[in-house]
Parts: sequence; structure tokens; C-alpha cells
Amino acid sequence: MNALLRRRSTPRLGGLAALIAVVWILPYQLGGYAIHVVDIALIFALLAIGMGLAMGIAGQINLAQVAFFGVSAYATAILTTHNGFGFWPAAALAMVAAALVGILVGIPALRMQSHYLGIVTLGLALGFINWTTNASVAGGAEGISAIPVPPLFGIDLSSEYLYYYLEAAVFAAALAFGLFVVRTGLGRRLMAMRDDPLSAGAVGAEIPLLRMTAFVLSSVYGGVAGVLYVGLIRFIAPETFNITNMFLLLAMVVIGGRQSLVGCVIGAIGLTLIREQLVDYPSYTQLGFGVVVVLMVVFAPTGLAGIPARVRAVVDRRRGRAADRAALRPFQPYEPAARPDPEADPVPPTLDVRQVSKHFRGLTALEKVSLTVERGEIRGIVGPNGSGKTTLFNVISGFYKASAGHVRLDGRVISGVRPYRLSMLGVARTFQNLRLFGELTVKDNLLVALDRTRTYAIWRYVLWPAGIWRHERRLNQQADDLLARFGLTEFAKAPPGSLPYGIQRRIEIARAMAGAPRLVLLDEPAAGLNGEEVRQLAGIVRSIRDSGATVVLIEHNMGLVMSLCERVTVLAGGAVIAEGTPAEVVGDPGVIEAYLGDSAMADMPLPTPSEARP
Amino acid sequence: MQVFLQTLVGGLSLGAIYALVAMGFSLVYRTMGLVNFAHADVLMIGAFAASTFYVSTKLPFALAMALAIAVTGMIGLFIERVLRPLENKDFTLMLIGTIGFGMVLQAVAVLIWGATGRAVASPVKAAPLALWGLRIRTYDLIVLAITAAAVVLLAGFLQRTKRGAAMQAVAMDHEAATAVGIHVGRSNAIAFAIGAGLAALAGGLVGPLLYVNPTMGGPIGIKGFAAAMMGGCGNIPGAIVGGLAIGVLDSFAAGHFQGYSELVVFLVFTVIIMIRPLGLFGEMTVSRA
Amino acid sequence: MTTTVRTGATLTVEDLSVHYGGVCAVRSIGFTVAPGQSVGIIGANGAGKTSTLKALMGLVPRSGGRVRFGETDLTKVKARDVVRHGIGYVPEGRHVFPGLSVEKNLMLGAYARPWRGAETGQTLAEVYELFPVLGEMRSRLAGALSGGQQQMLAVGRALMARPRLMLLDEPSMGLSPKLVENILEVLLRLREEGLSLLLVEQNAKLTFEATSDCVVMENGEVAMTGTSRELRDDVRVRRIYLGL
Repeated sequence: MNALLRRRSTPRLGGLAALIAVVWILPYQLGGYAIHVVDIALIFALLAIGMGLAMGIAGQINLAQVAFFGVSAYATAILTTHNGFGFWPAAALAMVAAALVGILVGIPALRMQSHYLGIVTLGLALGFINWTTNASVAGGAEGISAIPVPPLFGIDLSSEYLYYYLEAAVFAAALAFGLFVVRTGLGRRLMAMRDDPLSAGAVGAEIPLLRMTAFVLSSVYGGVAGVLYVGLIRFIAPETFNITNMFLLLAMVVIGGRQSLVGCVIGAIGLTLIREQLVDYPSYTQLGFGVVVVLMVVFAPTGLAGIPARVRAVVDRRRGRAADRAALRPFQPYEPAARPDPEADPVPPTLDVRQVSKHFRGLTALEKVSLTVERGEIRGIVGPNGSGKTTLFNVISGFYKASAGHVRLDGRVISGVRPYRLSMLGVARTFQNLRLFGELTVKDNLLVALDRTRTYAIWRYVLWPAGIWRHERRLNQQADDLLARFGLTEFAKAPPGSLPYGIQRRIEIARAMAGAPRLVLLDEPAAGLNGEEVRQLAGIVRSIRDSGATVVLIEHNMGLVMSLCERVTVLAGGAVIAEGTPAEVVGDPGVIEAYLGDSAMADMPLPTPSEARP
Repeated sequence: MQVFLQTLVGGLSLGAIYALVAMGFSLVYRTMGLVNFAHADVLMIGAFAASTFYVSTKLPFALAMALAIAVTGMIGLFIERVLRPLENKDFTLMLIGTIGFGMVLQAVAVLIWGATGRAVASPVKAAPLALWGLRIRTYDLIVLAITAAAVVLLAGFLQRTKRGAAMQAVAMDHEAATAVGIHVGRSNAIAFAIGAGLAALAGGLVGPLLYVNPTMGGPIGIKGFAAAMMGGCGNIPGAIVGGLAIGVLDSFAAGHFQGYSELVVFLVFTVIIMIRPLGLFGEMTVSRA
Repeated sequence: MTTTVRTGATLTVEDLSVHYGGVCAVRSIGFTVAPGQSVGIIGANGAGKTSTLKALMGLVPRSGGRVRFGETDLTKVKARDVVRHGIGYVPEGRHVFPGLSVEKNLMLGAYARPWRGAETGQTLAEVYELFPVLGEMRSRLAGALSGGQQQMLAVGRALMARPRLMLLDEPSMGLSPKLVENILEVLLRLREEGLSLLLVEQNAKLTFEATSDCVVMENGEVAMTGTSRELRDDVRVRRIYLGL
């Protein structure tokens, strides 16, 4: 069996078997009302999973979940009662309708996020509720009743006990699919998008498509819930799909832990059960839920599902163990690739920047900057603060559009190409202020970057999951190799934020190298590193070049630049003021003036090599 | 034409209410960067409080309103204090926290005043005015007048007082504000209290216009937020324009689409906001460098 | 200029360290600024200069060390109260309040003092005298000013609190040499009135001309100290600057 299943030890399988046994026997233990509550709880659990996928995993605020629920429920009801469809055909169409509405609601997500998205989705939900209370086909305030019992091979599904088994089967499949998504490439990309959309784009995640996918997933789960609800109750009215229930659903997800699907399920089932227990005191229940939400948000933002991890962290801290013991192993250099002979086999320069200017409102950040980096070169870009170095990187890596001029990669014009496409073309970068995916493990950070599949390949999730599984195995192997090469094996399961700064820097470089790029842009890779770490960094950069990539790095640490870079370009005030070997550049009076601000000081003798630091 | 003008005028007084809600929401957003989803439920508490003071204890309307504003102002201070650890850190969590507070306020309202609402009689007994062939209710004019007064007072506070300038400075650059001696936490608390007060004012005024019940916050609130967004979140003049626009839009939609007016309003709103995501006049908020 | 001579106090920094983001930005530095003295802190980018000033103001947490200003232990003073003890701050990158007018910006500088008193009005007049350009633009929005004008506004704002010690963080950044001259002139005038200055700069020339003594920082530590005249002629300074 493959590595993923091997991770599950026998106790886990045993636990699963026990769970299945409990689920099977449950109805025999419960009375008629209790099983009804369980049936309702499972439906809310499905809704909660959908919300968890959109909000917790993908970071999209989705306050329209109750509308997706309603669309599917009403569609099923109307098609069966008004148009004479059979239950299951109606259900299928209803699911399609829910997915279409999901796409519709997802469109604003392409233009806005956060609270804006919250208000828009809430408004659309309100619009839907308005429709249900007015449309005659929806039965207005009285709703629709006498919906037929879903037929299932002669089983009488009007019995809530038997319906429970149907729900349990559907729920198990839905949860399994959800977990499958979360633990493989699509889920990782969604989480990367949630944690840092900018650097997710830089490692190949297509943000707009992913946002739509999040909403479609959410609406499909809402749709399934709607169909099951209609089949169970066989009567629907607008009150079920109101804003109060929307916020109740939100409470379930927040209290359970929105970033964990199992947490969402626990939150949904737990709150439903509590609500039923206290059915005579609905206001006290709502009061309690509201208070718990506020407390959770302030004290336990990861919800109930996050408590075990927090307890473990506290215990570990008390015992002073684990994190200190893991050690950084040495870097394993790459296999040197054959250095191409520029005479025999002329290739265009890897990076060709021509007359690039960048203006912001009232500010010129770059003024006709040109530079050419040949294949296999290590180029340094230096200059005082505010000289435009990071702006230049942002233009090259597609985050900014140049106001004038163009950029060529291996002869091909790439100006205006979006970062995720550049990542596919072989451009990788690191960031000045580290942009790792904080909620993912170190290994997951690398896995996101190793995944070179295009987003549209997510159709395989539905039609060919085995392909995803195989791909996962391959990616995991590659990730282990990458971890080993960069000496990070012992940190594979740690969240990067808890690690020392130097190790985080190395993780970012490893992530950049994951896609086997041909152009590597490093933005101040030595910032915050001590002498030994800088030495290791130099070795890593040289090896990266030896493996066949071209490296351009921005640095302030002139010692590093001197020893590492073959050529140096100096920027000041947004323009190139010098270019040459490090020795030439350091002696250039213009450069000295730019740094020290005094032409008189430029006349002073340069420190001799013996005075320079080793 | 007559009908057009009548619909327009009819939408203005409710529009003024939305404008008040949007102003309070935008003020808090602009100074703290906080999206307060409990804003509408604060309005609801204000409405209940004002009507209780007015109807049950027979206080004059103005005094009842003042008391209601004081009470909700304190609720605002409390909410800010509880959510203060999240300020400038995690905005999504703050948002969810305010939703939690909203649930609490709704539940409290039901516990204190019951789930069925109450109708509040208009405090003004005069007959509607007839101007240019249009019927204009006197109470609507009062609502517009009071809203205008609130706008003037708020603008005066922000532009002419030390605290108002400090509040704006905190939003623009909270580190530089600290360096000149401003207490950022206290400034935020005052902003929140003013926001809550505006919500209460809106709530007190809306009593005679709509039915007061614990779930009234929903539709009014969401339309108020939409108004703030349309005008540009944090943009106070934009909030006023947005509020009036939504009120008028609501009025026209009700005239043409009857019960479907909300659906129409939100579809139109979604289209507008997609075209200009930062609102008609642009967003103004804390710089989250 | 018709101002009173400010009664000064000594700033004493001992063993100050600053850690954040997992990095040690400043390690055990120490220096003093006597009343009426002007001291410069120079060094290459990333040397820890800005972190030092922010630590003095309490805007970043201090991890160890003693900071005294006159009789007051600054480590016990909250960031928002530092200005009330007579320390003015001109942040790196100016940080004016862009949506407020020039005059409002200046008045906010005097937030810690009563706005209505005659004293504040007089201070405002003095600042307009120091920077006539600000007087001309008093009702324009600060965000519409040029870089140099914003720098003057930032300095003026800090002066409104009538400080005894001014902390300036890279006032010359992004400015033309002519503007840098202007700033220099103003600082020298203020020095004559007894204002103490602690000037952090990348521009070594400006610093040597505006200060009497200098501290050279490298990698978060003090690498050299001396009078500005001595350091100006010292080759090692350039080595440290270029990070060689």
C-alpha cells in the first residue's frame, strides 16, 4: 500500500471499526424524537463541512451557505410537487442548481474579500429569503408541503430510522471526500491561498479559479444537505433558511474549529444536540452560543478542534522538549549540471530587463532600468534604501506591471504575465519579509510548490481520484527528497512560524527550488542571519547555480555580495548607477556617494583587502 | 411624475435611517478598521430601549432617545473592550466576534422584551403636510432634520475637536499617533461608543416607522452596511449618500416589485459593488501596512 | 527666534537590547546624550539604528537594559507618555497624517498640551517661522505635500510638544541635497537653543556636520564611537558602512 495509508497504524483502523459499529447500532438505542434530532444534526453537519471548506480551508467569507441549502431544498420541492418529477431526478437537478448559484455567489469573490465579501454574500442570502417568502411557486410564507417520500429500492424512507442510515452513508461519503480534498493538492492550495494569496500565486496557485472552487464546494455540500432535508421533513418553509440559522451555522463552525472539517462536524452536532436539549429555552441557548463564540474568538480562535494541539504545546513547553531537539542537517549540494558553452551553443540571456520604468501616483520608483543576466550567472543587485530594488523584483516576478519597457525570460517577453504563470515558466522568488504559509507544516509548504498541475486538473477529484492518489505519492517522495537536500527533514511536521529565523529563510529557499526553476530571485536572503548562516547561504546559492539555474539576489551584506556574485548592478534613486564586478563597483565614486552621501569621502582611499572582513 | 416624486420622498426618511446606520458603521470602520456586524443589533436594542422609555415610562420622546443612546453607548464601550486584544491583529476574527455579540444582543432582547415586537406610535400627532401635491409625513421631516443635525454634530466633532482629530490620526497612523501622546485604545473606545450611539439614534427614530422586534436588525443592518460599502467604507459623506440611495432604491423597488423589493435591492447593490469594489467615493480606513 | 532656552536632561542608555521576529536587532548598546548635545548614530542598512530609536520611544519592546532621561526611568513609561516627558520623535519615512491639514498635523503634535492656551499658539507661530513653507501650506492636506515638505512638517510636529530631546530617524531619506541642507540648518539653529538631538542617519556627511559626537553601529552593536570630526577622517567608518 502507498505511504499515505501506511501512516495509519492498526489502532486507527480499530478505532474506525468501533466508530462504524456505534453508528450502526445507534438507532436501536434511541427513541423516535431522538433519531429525528440525529437526522437533523447530520444535515447541519453537512452544511458545516461546506462552510468549513469555504471559510476555514480557503479563507473565503461565505455567509450565503443557508441560501445554497435553501436553493437545493426549494428546487427539489418545486420539481416534485409542481412539475411531477421523481424525487431523485429532482434532487439531481437541485444539486446542479445549487452549484450554479454557488458559482454566481463566487463571482463577487473574484473582486473582493473579507468583510466586503461577507456583506455581499449576506445580502444575496437575504435576497433569496425575500424570494422564498414572496414567490407563489415557493408557496410564500406557508412553504411547500406533501413532498413525496424518496424511493430507494423498496425501503420505506418515511421511517426516520431507516432515513438515518441513508444520511449516515451520504454523510460518511461526504466527509471522506472533504478530508480527501483537504489532505491532497487542492486542499493544500486552498490553504496556501488562505494563508498568503501573494506567495501562493508565486508558487503556481491560480487564485481566481481556486476561489470559485471554494464556493462551488460549499454550495455542493449545501445542496446535498438541502436534498436530504427535503426527503426527511417533506415540508419546507422560509423560516428554516433565515439569517438566524445562518449565524447559528457560523457559530457551529467557529466553536468547532473552522480549519478542521472534523471540528466543524463536532460543532454542528454538538450545538444541534444542545439546542434540542434546551428546546424550551431558545433564547438562553442563543445567548449561550453567542457568548461562547465571543469567548472562542478571543481566547481560542482555533475552536474546540484546536484545543488538543494547544494543550500539547503547553505540555511540551513545560517539559521543554521537542522543538529544541530537532536539528538542521547540512545542505546536500545539487548535482552540477553541464555548464553550456556560450560560444558553441548561444542561448539568449536568462533575464533581460529593457528600459523598465515604474511610476506610482506621483512617485517614480524605477527609471529606465536595464540589465542583462546571462544563463548560469549569479548577479547581485545592491543600493541604498528606497532605490527600487524590491520594486524591480516585483516587476520581474509579475506582481507589478511596468509602466514602460519590457522583461524577457530566455528571450521570451514576460512583461505583464501573472505570477502563477511565471511560476510555471520557471521563475521563483523569495520575499524580503518571509512569506511562508503559516498554518501549513514545513513539508506542506514544499508540497504546495512541488505541485505543478494546473488548477483545471481538479476535475480528477470527481472523475479519477486514483490519479490524485498516485500524484500524492509522487509529490510526497519529491518533498522528502527536497527536505533531505536542504537538511530540513527533522522539521517536516512543524509549523514554520515556530522555527528560528535562519531555518525559515532556508525553508523559503527550498520552496523556491521546488519547481526546478531556471531563474531564482532572492530578496535579501541574508537579512537577519548570523555569520555562520550567511556562509551556509553562500554555499546553497552556489549549488543552486551549479544545478543549472540563474540567480539574481538583492542584498545589503556587501561581504556576501563580494564573495558570491560574479557581477553586481547598483541601483540608486530608481536608476542603475553602476554595473560590473564587485571590486569595480565598490571602488566606483558614484556608488560610494550614493551610500555615504558625500563626494568628499569618495576621495578617501579604499580599505585594502587585508582590512576587509574575512 | 407625481408618483415618481412621491416614491422618492417616501424613500428619503427610511434612507435617512440607513444613512445613520451607515455613518456609525463607517465611523468605526474608518477609525478602527473594525467591521462591526453587531451594529444592527445595537440599533435594535436602541429601538427597544427608546420605545420602552417612551411608551412605558411616558418620558418625552427626546429624553427617551437620549437615555437609549446612553445605554447603547455603554454597550458599545463594552464590546470594544472585549475585542480589544484583536484590534490591529486579526480582522476576520473581530468580524466573527461581533457576529457573536449580535447573537447575544438578539437573545437578550427576546429575554427582556419578548419575541413579539411592538408598534410604536409616532410621537408627532400632526397631519401630513401637503407640498406641491405630495404628502409628506411630519415625522419623516423630523427624522431627516435629526439626521442632518447628527451629521453636523459628527462632522463638527471630527473636524474641530482635539479628540476628533486624534481619532482620525489614530486611523491614519497609529504609531505616529502614539508618539504624539494619543491613547489609541481609548480613542478606539470612544469611536465605538459614538458608532453605537448613532445606531441607537437610528433605532429610536425608526420605531415609529417600522415594527420593532428582535430580528429587525437584520434587514436594516444589512442595508445599512451595503449603503456604507456603496459610498465607500469609512467614507462618512459616502455613507450618507449611500444610505439615501438605498432608501430611495428600496422605495422604488417596493413600488415596482412589491414583495421582491429586497431581492432587487441586493442584486442592484451586488452589481454596483462589483463595478466599483471600493465604493462610489473610495474606501477610507486604517492603514494596515 | 524668541524662545526660552530649554532646560535639558541627560539621556543615558545602558545595555539596551531589542529582539523581535526571532531576530536580535540590537545587542547591549549604550551611549549618552547630554543637555544641548547632538549625537549621531550611523551605520549601514540593517545595523539596528531605527530599532534603537523605536525602543527608546517604547514603540518596540525592549529586552533588557536601562534607559534614563533625567530623573525618569523610561523603561517604565508607556509609549504614549514618552512625549510628555519631553522627548519628541520624527519617525523614519515621516509618517505625517496624510488626510489631515498641515495645521491639524502640527496641532496634533501638541496633543499632550492644552490646545487653547497661549503657549500652543505661540509655539505654532514659532514653527511657522522656522518653516515658512508650512505657513504657506497650512490648510493643505499633508498627503499632498512633497517629501521635503512632509519632512519639515514631521519635524515641526515634533517641536510642537516643546521637547528637550529630539529623536530623528533618517530625516534625509529620499530628499535632494538642497533639502537636506535646509534640514541641517534648522537642526543647528535648534541646537543653539539647548535642544538635545539624537540623529539616526545613513547619510554620514549630514550626520558629521550636524552632530558633535557619533556612534557607529554594525549588526546591532556599537562598533565605534568618537567625535564627529575624528570619525569623519577615519577609514574604518567607510569599511563598516559598506559592510565589508
